[in-house]
Amino acid sequence: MGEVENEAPAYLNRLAKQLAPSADVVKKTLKSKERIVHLLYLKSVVDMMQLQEIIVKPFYELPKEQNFADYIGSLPYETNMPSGDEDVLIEITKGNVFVMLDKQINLLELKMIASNTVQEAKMEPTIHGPQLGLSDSLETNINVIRQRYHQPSLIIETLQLEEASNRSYALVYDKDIVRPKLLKVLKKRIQSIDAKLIQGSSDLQHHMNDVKYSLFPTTLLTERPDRVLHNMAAGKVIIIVDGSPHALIAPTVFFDFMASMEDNYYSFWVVKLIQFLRYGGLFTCIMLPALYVGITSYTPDVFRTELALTVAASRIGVPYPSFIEVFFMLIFIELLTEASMRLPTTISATATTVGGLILGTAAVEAALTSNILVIVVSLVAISTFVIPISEMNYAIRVCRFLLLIYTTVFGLAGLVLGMLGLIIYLVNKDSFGEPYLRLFWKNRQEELEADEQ
Amino acid sequence: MSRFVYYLLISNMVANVIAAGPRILFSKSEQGAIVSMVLALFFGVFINWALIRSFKAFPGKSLPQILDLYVNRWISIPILLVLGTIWYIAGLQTLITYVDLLLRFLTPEMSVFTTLSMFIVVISFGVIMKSRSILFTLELVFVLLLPFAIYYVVKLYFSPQISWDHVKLAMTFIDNPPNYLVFSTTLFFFTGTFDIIILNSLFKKKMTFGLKQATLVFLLGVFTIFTTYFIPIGVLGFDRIEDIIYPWIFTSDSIRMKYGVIERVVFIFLLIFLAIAFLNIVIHWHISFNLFENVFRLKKSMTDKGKTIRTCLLLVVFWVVAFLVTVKLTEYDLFTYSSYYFNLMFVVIIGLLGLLWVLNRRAKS
Repeated sequence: MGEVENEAPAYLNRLAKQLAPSADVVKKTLKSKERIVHLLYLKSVVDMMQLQEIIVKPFYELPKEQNFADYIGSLPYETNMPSGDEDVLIEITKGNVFVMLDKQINLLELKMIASNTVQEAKMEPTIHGPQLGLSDSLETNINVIRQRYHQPSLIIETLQLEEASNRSYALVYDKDIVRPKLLKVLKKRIQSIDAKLIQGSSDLQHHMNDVKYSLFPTTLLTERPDRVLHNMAAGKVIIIVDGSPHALIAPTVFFDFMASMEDNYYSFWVVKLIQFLRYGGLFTCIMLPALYVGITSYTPDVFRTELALTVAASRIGVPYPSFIEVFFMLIFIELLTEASMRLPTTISATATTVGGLILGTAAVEAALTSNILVIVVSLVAISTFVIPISEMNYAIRVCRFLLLIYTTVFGLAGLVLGMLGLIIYLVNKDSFGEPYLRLFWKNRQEELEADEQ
Repeated sequence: MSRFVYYLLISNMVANVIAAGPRILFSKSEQGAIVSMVLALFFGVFINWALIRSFKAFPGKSLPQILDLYVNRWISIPILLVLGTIWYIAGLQTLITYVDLLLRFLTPEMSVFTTLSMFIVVISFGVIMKSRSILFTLELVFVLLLPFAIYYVVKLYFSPQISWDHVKLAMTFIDNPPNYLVFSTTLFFFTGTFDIIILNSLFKKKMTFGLKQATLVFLLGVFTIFTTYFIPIGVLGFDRIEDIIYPWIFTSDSIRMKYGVIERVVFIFLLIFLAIAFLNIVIHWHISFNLFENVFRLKKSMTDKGKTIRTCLLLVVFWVVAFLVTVKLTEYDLFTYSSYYFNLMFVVIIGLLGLLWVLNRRAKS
């Protein structure tokens, strides 16, 4: 046995210096008679128990004829050693333990994750299907996906965001079905993101949108593993960011936002009914306020006489034209929705009751709005929430106002034209090369190929 | 044929119901309308066959691209200019008619300018968007309208107001010698397919036009012509129908939905046809826009800025002409010029088919 060197090597010192003066940096030297190991880690992100079990104990217990270096090399926790200093430091901040043994250096992943439990699916609840969503930890999420999809063709590519947080993210896809071109476009888009800090998949979604002024989302944020799998099996790419309990699905088209996972769980006719209701709700919540303005202010004779009279009678005493009335009520209901979303659940119930019931009735009694409009607006508010994905929900709420303005200026014909305008806007939009809105009958694949040229 | 080609055909057939077409047919109802319509029906199937056949040699290529390959640019520029104008007028005709309809039946107190300007944003966007999107929009809007359209047609055919006796009376005029104006007007119903002179660049697969397709086009033609001509006669009577300016509005307004929230069918008609007219204008102007774009392609590699300027200029010209013409044109003018247009259209179609034939010969040699 030669003399064991006591001094930490220069390389380790250099690394440690760059991490200092953080309180949680630990630079440790394990020393026994015949061997010496230098460790560098951040104690806030490393699992101490594991460190103790895997490195410290064996170090002292391993018989001396056995090579400790081989033992370290054989551990399954090893991460690939990046080349530059900077990258090594990033790996250490992620929860890797830097192990230096003579000339051999290793990075062992002994991460401690505070929140790797799978959370309950809150945003997209369903009666059937998985009740649990994803978790904050990338590994757990990948595990959740792997557990449900046993295919060797399932590829998980772990990459790293190039901004301040250096977060790792994973591209998950089935390599047999995914279109290679899509994959290329996606990777290029993520790499070209020019942002200071990305907090999670919601930010990433925002940054991946290539149009500056956009309204409709081109990627879907979900917390449901069944939605993730459903989309992956259809050839889409899932992006999971470490530390974020949501997965990002790309590319997504309009109909993906209108699908609830429950559509796969019920019998055919039940699903058709639900879908009918959903699309009915969609059209109601976009068109109804505009329709009210168009009919009361421009062409009351569209309705049959009795109905036209009822509407007109309910507006007796309202001192301004119908569009002011509708704007007033719509903004009121939007405020109510926003308020009840931001407030804690205990208070929000009060807000909704006060707003919805009392103010609604009072507004009618004060002749600020008509009775029928109160019905219209509450119908609109309810049907907005039939849309399963909240991003689409928001976009539709904006469209409602745009359509209302168009109808206010041009009347009922403006309503139809505005609606057609919305349709052509959606049709012309695309999400990573896939048309946003279109119908598929047959030979879907063939059509997609025709698009690529 | 791709399903989208049928949509193009149908959109043109349906859009003509609101344009001057029916009025021209009724004006000649005692001077050979029926024979001419039957002749046009067969000829219409023929021109569709000839068109699809001549594009068979060029899958995935539009007419300007084909012209670039086989013809000198000095020959192709006038051709594109003429075709662009023809397609522009086709859209303009629908636009003017529809603006007139809106002013008359839906929002009488609005000014012409307001009514026209509500089209500007939406149609301009439709004109400059990707060709691919036009086809998808067509399909989507058709699917959305289909329930209303079926309801409307069933309501028409089974309405108690229809007097089939008058229809029979109209049919007795089958022995008159044919009339050219009616022939060319009816033939215009079948020209929807000709939009593929631009849109063919999206149809990568070779299209066939066999017996099946011919039958389908024939049946669509029979249904359209029969409905356009005989249903108003059945509802409004044969005697004075030529005096009515918008026979189809009157026809729709004479039936009602007894238990509906909306009682007068005419409003459903107006709103369905607003969508159809919109599609028709967008398609025609999109074709025209693309043809003109190919004319004003000064250099092979234009900068993005140059392209934007060209797009804006073309759109401005489109709308300025549309405004001027719409404000100037009276109802009588519209009818007269539409007749001229239909008469001219026949010549253009024959010319275009001849051109395609020549191009085919060149491509083969």
